[in-house]
Amino acid sequence: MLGLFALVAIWLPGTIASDIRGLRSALRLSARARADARGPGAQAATNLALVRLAKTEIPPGGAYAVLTTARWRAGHTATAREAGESWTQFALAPRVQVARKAAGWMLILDSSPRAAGIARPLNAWRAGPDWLVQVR
Amino acid sequence: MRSLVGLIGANALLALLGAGALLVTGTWERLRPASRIGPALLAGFALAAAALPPLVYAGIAPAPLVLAALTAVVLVAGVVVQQRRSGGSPEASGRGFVAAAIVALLLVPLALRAAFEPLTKFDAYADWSLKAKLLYRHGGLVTGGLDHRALSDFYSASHREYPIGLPAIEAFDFHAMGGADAQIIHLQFVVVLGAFMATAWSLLRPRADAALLVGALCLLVAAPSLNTQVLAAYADVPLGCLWVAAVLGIGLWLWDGRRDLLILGCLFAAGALAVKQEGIVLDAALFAVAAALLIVAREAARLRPLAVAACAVAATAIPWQAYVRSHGFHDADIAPSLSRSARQLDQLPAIAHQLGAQLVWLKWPAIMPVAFVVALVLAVRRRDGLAAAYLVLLAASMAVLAVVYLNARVYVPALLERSAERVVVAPVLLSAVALPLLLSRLLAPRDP
Repeated sequence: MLGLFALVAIWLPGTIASDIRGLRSALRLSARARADARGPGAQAATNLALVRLAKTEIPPGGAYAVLTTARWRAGHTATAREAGESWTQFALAPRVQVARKAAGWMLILDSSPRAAGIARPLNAWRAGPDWLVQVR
Repeated sequence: MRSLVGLIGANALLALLGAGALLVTGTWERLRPASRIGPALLAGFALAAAALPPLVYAGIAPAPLVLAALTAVVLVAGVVVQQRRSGGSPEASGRGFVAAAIVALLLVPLALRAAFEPLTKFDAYADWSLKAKLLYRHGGLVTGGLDHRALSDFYSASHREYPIGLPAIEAFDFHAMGGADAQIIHLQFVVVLGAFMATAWSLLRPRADAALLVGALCLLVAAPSLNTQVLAAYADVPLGCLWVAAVLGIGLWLWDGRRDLLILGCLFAAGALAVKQEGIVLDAALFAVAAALLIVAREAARLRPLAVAACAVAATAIPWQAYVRSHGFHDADIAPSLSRSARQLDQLPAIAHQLGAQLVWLKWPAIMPVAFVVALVLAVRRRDGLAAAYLVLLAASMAVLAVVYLNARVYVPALLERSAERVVVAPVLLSAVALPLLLSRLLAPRDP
C-alpha cells in the first residue's frame, strides 16, 4: 500500500505542476488568441486574416472552395496542407467546403482572382497574398 | 460563463438519462445515493453515445430537446420497471466522501486547464470536434444535423467512417452551451474521466480496500499521459473509460451473478462501440474472454445470457455500419484483410515493442507493470482466478490492438508512432481498476 502511495507522491507533483504551467500559458493568451490557436502544421498552412474575413463574409451554411497554386503547394508539406485544410474547415463550419463549380465563395491562396480564372467576381477582399472572392 | 453553465446543464441531463438506465437495469437500488452519481453520469454518456447517432442518421438533431425526450422515456421506463421489481439491498458503496473529495480535489488543476485549453490537436479539429460543430450548426431544435455536403471527399481527413457517438454528444453540449466553445468542450472529457473514477469506486468499493482504491485512482490522476489524452479532446479516453466500465459490469456479473451488472456492462460496451472503431475489437475481446472464463469454470448455462448480451451490443452498431456502407466510406488507415495481415506479420515484433513500451512508459506511472506483477504472483502462487482473468483480458486487449495494426493500409511504424500512446489508454485503465482488487487479495490473509 505504501508503495502505491509512493508512486502517487513521485508522479503527482509533476503532473499538477504541468497542468498549472499549461493553465498559465493558456491564460497569457487573449480569448481571441486561444480561439484562433492551432497546431504548428495548421499554422504553417493557414492565413488567419483570410479565415477571419471568410467567417465575416460567408453566411453560415454557405459553400466555399479553396483554390491553391502549384507554387503554394510546393511551399507546404503534405502534412501542413492537410492540417491547414482541416483547421480551415473547423474554423469556418458550418460553412462547407465544396468543389469549385458548386461554390459561391472562393478562398484563393497565394494567387489573384484573375490568375485563378475569375474575371468578374461579385466581390473580392484581399488578405495578404490571399483572396476571398464571392462568385455568386 | 454561459458555456460552462450550459455544459453543467448538459451533464445534469446526461446524469438523469443514466439514472433512468440504472433504474431499468436495477443497479439504482443496489447503490447508496451518493454512489449513484458517477455511474448515472457515465451510463447517461454511454446511452447518449449509442442512441443519438441512429437518430442523427434518421434526421433528428442531437439537441437538448431530443435528449430531454429520450431521458423522460428512459426515466418513466425505469420507474415502471423498478415498481414491478422487489428492491435489492444497498451495498457499502456509498461511503467514502473523504476519498471522493481527495480524488476530486486532485482533478481540479486538470479541469481548470481543460476549461482554457485551445483546441490544437489534429484529430480534434479535423475529426471529432469538426463533426460536432457541423452537427450542431446544421441541426435545429429537433431535426437536422447531417449535411450531405460535409460527407464529400473534402472531408476525408475527418474519418467519415468513424462512429459519431462522441461528436453527437459534443454537438449536444454545444447546443446546451449556446455556441461551439472549442475550449470549454475539453471539460466534457474531464467529466467523463471523473464519472469513470466514481463508477469504479461505486462498483469496486464493496470488493476492494478503500485506501488501495483511492491510491489507484490517485495514480490515474497523476498519470501524465492520461492528462495529455484528456486535453487532446480525442475519443480514446471516453473509449477507455466506457470499455473498462463494461469490463467492471460484465466482470462483476461473472463474479457474483448479478444480472443488473451484465446489462449495465452491455450499456457501457455499446457506448464504447459508439465512440470509436477500436470499440469493436475491444468489445470482442471482452466477450470472448468472458465466454472462455465461463467455459473454464464449467458454467455453460451462463453462456446463453452472455451470448444474448453480446448480440445486443453488436446490434447497436448496425445503424452505424449500414450508414457507412451505404455511403461507401472506407478507413484510409485500417481495413481488415487476412492477406495483408499475413504479409505484415514481420511487423509484429515492432508492434509488440511499441505497444509494450507505451504500457511501461514513465508517462503511465508504473500502473500496468505493478498490476501485471501482482496478478502474476497471485495467479502462479495462489491460483487466483481474478488475477488470471485480468492477465488473460490484458493479453487479449493487447492482442486485438496488435491485430488492428497488422491490418494497417499505411506504413505500420508511422501509424504506431502517431497512435500507440493513445490506444493503450484502455489497457492501462483496465490495469488501474484491477490494481486495488489484486492488491487487496494479495494483502489479505491466505485461507488456511
